[in-house]
Amino acid sequence: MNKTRTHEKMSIHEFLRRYSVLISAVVMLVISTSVTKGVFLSANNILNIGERAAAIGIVALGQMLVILTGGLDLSVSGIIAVGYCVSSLLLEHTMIPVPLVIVLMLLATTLCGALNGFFVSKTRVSPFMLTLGTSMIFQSFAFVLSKGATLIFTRQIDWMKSAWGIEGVLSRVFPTFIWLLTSLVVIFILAYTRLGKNIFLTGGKELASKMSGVKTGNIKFFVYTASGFLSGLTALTIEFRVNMLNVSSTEAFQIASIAAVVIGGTSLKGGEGNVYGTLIGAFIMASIVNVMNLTGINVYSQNIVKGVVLLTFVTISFLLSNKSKQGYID
Amino acid sequence: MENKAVLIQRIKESAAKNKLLVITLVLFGFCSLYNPSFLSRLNINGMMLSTSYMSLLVIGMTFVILTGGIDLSVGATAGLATVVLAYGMNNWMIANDTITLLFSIVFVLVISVAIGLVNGLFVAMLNLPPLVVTLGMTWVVTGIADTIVKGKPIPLPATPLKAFLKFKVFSVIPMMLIISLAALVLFIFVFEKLRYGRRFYTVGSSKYAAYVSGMNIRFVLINAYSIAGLLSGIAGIFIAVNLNAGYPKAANGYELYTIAAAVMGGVALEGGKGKLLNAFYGVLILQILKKLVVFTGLANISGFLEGMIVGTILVLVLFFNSLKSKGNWHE
Repeated sequence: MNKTRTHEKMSIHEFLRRYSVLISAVVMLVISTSVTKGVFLSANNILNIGERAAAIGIVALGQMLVILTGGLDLSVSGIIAVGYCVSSLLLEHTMIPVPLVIVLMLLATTLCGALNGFFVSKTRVSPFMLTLGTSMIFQSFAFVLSKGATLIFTRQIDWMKSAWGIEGVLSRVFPTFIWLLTSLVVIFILAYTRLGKNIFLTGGKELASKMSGVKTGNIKFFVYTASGFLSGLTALTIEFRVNMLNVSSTEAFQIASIAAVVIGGTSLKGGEGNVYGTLIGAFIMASIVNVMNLTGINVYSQNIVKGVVLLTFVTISFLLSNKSKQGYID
Repeated sequence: MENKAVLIQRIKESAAKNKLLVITLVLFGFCSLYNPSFLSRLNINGMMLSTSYMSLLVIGMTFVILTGGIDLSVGATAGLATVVLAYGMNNWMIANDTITLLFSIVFVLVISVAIGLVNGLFVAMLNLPPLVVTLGMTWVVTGIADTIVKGKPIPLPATPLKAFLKFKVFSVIPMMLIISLAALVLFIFVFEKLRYGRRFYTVGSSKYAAYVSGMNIRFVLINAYSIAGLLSGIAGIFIAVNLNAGYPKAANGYELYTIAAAVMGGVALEGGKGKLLNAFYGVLILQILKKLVVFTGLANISGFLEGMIVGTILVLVLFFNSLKSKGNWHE
């Protein structure tokens, strides 16, 4: 009785701010289950969502690192497209062994990310505009390389399945496994290394951290490069799951990754956010697409929903953030 | 002799003032010498047509960038405009063809202003980042257009509109170009001479200054995005007439094109700086550069290579702009 509690009362605003991610996840679960009359929770469907969430989730981790530094990577979709192209061209036209193909593909996407990182860290170009430009460059480059044809990855899938012994249900859990493993690495970096702390600092107050000795340029270079690498990893998990792909199918990753991060409660202004939120955000984005497929909403109208979801959650996150009242507009 | 020196001096001065015009002319001259087919009727006509809708888009983009924002949804809005126009003219039957046509046009314009208005409301009322808002809006708008056409282009029926817009004054200059040049002159006048136009500069260069001088910042922002929406709608009508069809991705990537043109013309992305006329020169320079790449035989241009070129140019321009302002914290 006598115990004094520091947080006696929590305002509704504060409550929503802290738990918005969980609330949206629960709301999503309830709506999805009721709309699909329970099909949503069937084992098969959950595996399905896991595969989709993994694809969005891995690229969203990279996107989150970038957003934490106050930037934005609009080029992830283009980088994934480059990844598809590199692996399929190497698989079809050369006899390079599959492990080397995978390494080369990851190297190519990491290089794309490093290109972004170079410009952002060494020049004063705005990251938004820069990645908008490189997004167009990468996407068009991939299209020109693939000549718009369907890309095939059979050789790689066969090798991965036989060499790593991934069979049956295991092969459906594999992308999710990679996703969670990557998340653990990112959690470790953000929580326990100096690099992680510097990522938060760079996004919070860039000038202040620069003056107190944080090499913000190097941090930025790292996050964009990491985003490129993680986009490559996403490409790999999708190639593993889908045998035939078209480069223009990657466009949705641009908006889906940003939406997942924003739903996860990471501030677009940088310096604030966590991996757990992004994990749930990716899950929510995957569920939304899944429910739309189950209820038979056509592909074209699904894009409307994606846009509306992004707008809604950006609005929610700004209404809930404490910073939203800054600026001279009010 | 003295007169000659004065004349040269004057030419030098005005050249320094109109750097972009000089670059445009030099590129134009170089292209026509490099490959005479640059001056062919077909090529010049094609360039005049695309200049007409690109310059409309760049006017809207300049409005938005001047306030310190960005609008990624102009391409999608123009695409929706082509679709709605074609759909309306094919499917609506109101009294007679002329009234159907007029109604379709008005409807297209209303929709495009509404899209701009929603963008503006999000940015001004909720203080959300324009890039993310307009990115979300791009998906909504393209989704709506795709839902209407269900994946395949709708042909545009022959109408007086087509005849009018493609009518050639002095059998050379298409009506489209004259309309957009008139719009360009009008908006240059608005920016340079009217208090209304100067407000966009003030809001862009310092929200604080705008605030203390009693300006309604929200009103200015909403105006900028709505005008961008309206002009994308008109550009969409031009594009539909050009393509003879309505197609959701008809103006795909044009937002990047216009941003590149505006930035090349010295419109600063931080807002508050830049001239509309220079942004227009940016459009011309991009058009000529594109042709130059075709002529040098690097590639026969497809839509996707075009994206690569425009993207590369944008990145390079941003890079050189950033070199200029290096080491200056005040900017």
